[in-house]
Amino acid sequence: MTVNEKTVKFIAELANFRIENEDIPGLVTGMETILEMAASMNEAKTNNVLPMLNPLDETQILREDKAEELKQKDKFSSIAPETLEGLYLVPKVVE
Amino acid sequence: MLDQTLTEQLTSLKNGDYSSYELTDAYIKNIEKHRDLNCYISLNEKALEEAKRADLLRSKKEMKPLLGIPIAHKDIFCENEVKTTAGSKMLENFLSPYDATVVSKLREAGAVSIGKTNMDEFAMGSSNETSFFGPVKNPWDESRVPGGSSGGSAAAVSARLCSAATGTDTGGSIRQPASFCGITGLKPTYGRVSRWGMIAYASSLDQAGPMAISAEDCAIILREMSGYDEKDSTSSKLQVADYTSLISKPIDRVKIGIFRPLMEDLDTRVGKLLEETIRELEKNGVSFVEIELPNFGFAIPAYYVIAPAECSANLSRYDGVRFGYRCDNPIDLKDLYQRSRTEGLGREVKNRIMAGTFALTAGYYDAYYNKAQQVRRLIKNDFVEAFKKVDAIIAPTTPSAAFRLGEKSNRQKEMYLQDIYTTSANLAGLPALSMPAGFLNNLPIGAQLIGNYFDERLILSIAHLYQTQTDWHLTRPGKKE
Amino acid sequence: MNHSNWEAVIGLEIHVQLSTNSKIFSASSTAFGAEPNDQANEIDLGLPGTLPAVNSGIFPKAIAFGICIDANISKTSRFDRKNYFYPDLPKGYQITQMEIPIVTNGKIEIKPITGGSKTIRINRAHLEEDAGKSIHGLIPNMTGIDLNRAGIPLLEIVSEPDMRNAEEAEIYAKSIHQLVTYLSISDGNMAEGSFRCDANVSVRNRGETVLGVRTETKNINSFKFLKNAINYEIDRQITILESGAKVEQETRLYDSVKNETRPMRSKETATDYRYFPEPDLLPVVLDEAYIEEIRLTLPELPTQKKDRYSQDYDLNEEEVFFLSNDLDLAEYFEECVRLTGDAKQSANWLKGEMASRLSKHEITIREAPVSANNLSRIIIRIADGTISSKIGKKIFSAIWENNGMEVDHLIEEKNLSQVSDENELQMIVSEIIRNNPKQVKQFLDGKGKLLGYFVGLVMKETSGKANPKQLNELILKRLNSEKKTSP
Repeated sequence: MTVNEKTVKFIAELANFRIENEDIPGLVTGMETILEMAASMNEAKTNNVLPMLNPLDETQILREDKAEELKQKDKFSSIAPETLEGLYLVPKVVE
Repeated sequence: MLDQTLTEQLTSLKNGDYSSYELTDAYIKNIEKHRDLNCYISLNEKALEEAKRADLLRSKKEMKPLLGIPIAHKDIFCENEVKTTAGSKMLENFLSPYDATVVSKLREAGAVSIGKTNMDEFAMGSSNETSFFGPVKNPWDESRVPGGSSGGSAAAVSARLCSAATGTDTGGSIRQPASFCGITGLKPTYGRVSRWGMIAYASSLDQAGPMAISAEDCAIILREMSGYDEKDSTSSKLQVADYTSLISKPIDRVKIGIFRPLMEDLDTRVGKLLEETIRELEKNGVSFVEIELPNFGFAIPAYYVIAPAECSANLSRYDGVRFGYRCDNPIDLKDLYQRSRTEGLGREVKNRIMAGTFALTAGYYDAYYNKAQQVRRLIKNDFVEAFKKVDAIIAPTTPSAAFRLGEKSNRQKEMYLQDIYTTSANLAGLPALSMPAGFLNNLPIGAQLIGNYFDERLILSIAHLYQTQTDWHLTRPGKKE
Repeated sequence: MNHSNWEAVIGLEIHVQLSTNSKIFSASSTAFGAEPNDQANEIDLGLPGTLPAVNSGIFPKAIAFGICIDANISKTSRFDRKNYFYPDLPKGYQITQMEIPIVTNGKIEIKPITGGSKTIRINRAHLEEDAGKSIHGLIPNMTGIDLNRAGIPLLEIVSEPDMRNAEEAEIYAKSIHQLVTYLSISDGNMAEGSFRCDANVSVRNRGETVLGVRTETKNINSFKFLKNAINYEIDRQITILESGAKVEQETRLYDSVKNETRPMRSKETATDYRYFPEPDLLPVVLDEAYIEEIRLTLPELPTQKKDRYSQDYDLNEEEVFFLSNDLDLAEYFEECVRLTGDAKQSANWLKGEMASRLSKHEITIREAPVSANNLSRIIIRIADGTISSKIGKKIFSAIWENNGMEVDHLIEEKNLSQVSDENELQMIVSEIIRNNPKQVKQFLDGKGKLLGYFVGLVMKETSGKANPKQLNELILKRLNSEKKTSP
């Protein structure tokens, strides 16, 4: 798998990373190393093999529909970068 | 007292040989002395208070299984109102508003929380060099790495900076540092220990486990940290065994599998040590047979698709909005996201997020992620077949003993191959441990035992049996050879 | 622009908030109207180390819906992650059902106003978590994020592109709304965001079988806006196509003030949702017995209710439709029938007095100040002759304005009961006849409609409390006796 500059830029945008031109060769190598290693699994015979999503071979346990009072807002707000009247603030969102 | 195992310390505390306060204080002093090892990211200022409280409980005969034992937590476990960094600048000042289940369970069991140990950033690394807080040094040779990602925990146990520690293992992160630091470390069956409050790297691979001097010590901690948790849908309802009382029961006719091709590729010196381990166990009535694991070689590639893919989503929450690092003066939303994430996350983490993001994109999902999950089932099926014939499997933990700091930090692929013997247990979800099995050039090296699903008891018993016959695990850095 | 050459193709994605006590993956309350972030816990905020735990309450609701649209119910379903960054999406991914939704391949019959009926196919209905809310303009250049909505359980109902005009789309949306409220799986409150529509609209030449390029207009929260937005989109696309240009595939927003749609700027960045199975959750497996239990306990559905009303009550088709269309109104009606035993009068009051006031005040029957109990008392008191229907309306009005008074108490306190005492009435009638000799003469000369004049005078004298039937008889009797005595 060869990763090109365009791919790196597209993936960086999806992952929300800022990349400068000088970062690109490093990221190309970084991604290629992982993807090259991954490529060697192509030899595995996986025809009609069900993907294994979770090692725990059980089914989902469902929670009772009960609401719990928390009153932890202040605690959560205190670890936030910027809040106002309980709201988390971000630069203006244009819809 | 610092020379004792956790099991011995419990007896001493019970006999009144010393108090929890004295024990905790001794560790704190030792931590001070070994600051240069950089094992801890933060220390619990209330540790001595907690120790006093434990002593008080003991005086009132209110016993608990780990009462007064100072335990260190890998800094990946959230602890209420305690800084929890995951080794990242992103969470440098993150005060968790809640407890991880592992943390609250061990506290319930009476343990004293002594501090939070250093680790590779978000558990991504095999040398502890990706930590934002600087690398941990191997207590056996300070020019070498302790392994990773639970390197701080392994080094702290090895240097006697705590009685035991918690770690997490996604592809080998408990076992590989345990091997490098000469301690015993267990990755339980996936689902045995709750992941609630354990900062996620790869959700379907991550599992918390104990790191301690002996298998016996690991058994006590495992019993206390295990169990179903309604907050973690992937935790098992299966009842927790009393590993502690079962560990010294004689094990009859145990058959261990050896996968020969694995031994053939191995550094001959590592191979020789493993053969000696096998002979030692044979002397004690354990028999060995060869097994086939045809898809073993696909574990690393599958792992390096699944783990990055899951991490790429798990780490999206680090966006500078509700907690964690936020860049200065963002000009708009995109700038806030991009700079907070780019500045707050390290190179290795970004590499894995990038690769994982790529592997999940529409055009590549089938070739990468889906294929890897199929490979994963093949690997599991191989193990299921093998366990029809054997009770456990022996393998090396690491290809070599601890390498030098900086030696592999620019050799990404070599670093990834550190996990070559360990990832398959994570992919299959099987329990596996590493126990000290000897020394190479004065550096410890471990042997790995892989057990069947939820049969932690057996591999702990085998390790315990081995440890009753050997003293590799009791050897301390600076005191050996 | 000539519409007759063009055909619109419309599909809807409707997000229905399921009525649960707690959120889909956390125990936070779902109650509406809390202070910002009061109902956002560590799971909803996506704090490091948190994990989702699935609410059992969502499945019976989704399955009930699935059964009612004749759909396939997945005994094994699964959750997936949909990855994208947005400040109101705390984890950077939404947990939804992509690969194996709980409900697939259903259909619903709609009745277009042009007559007949039409089947709209429903591709799927899947469970997912809602996002939070962005609040703009709090301070300049900043947006506030309220995550109380984050994690609210939604059922997203995705139709096939089976609708051909805005009216059909509106009727389809109303039919879904009626169904989910009848099933009580959602309160359907559109103003509070419990029922929101995304409209996929494309246009093609009539007779063409290939679909045109579509746009998706998001988050429409009223039926009227839905119709307007679709009509706007159809016109816009036709104009573009007639000019020879191409329609851009994009996501748009409807601006109800300007009545237009515009492209959503936040959707301009690169997207690839990178769906993959949610590793923090296991497959949800429900057995046949679980589904059967839900089937057996389904409430009465709109069509069943209509049939019952026509059969059991003496009501015309229009009345039946009116009463059964809205579940709240139907329940109100049934309570009145239970208390009064008089379906016809209950229907009359609801269709007349109640309906006009509800529409005047733009409120729903739930918010009406006159309870079913009170309206029933009015109906009973009219039937037993205590009050006239005119007074009944006055009482209705008084209770409406003073919110929640007791009918019998009001009748007594305001002395509103009819004057049925014959002696008292006779005295009043005698006096009036004495004082109006001219009109009496005219009546006796054959101007029969003057009877109303006398009735009116008595009513005025008794403040409308005279029993009209009794009064008519009394006046006639009295006038006839005048005839005999006159020379």
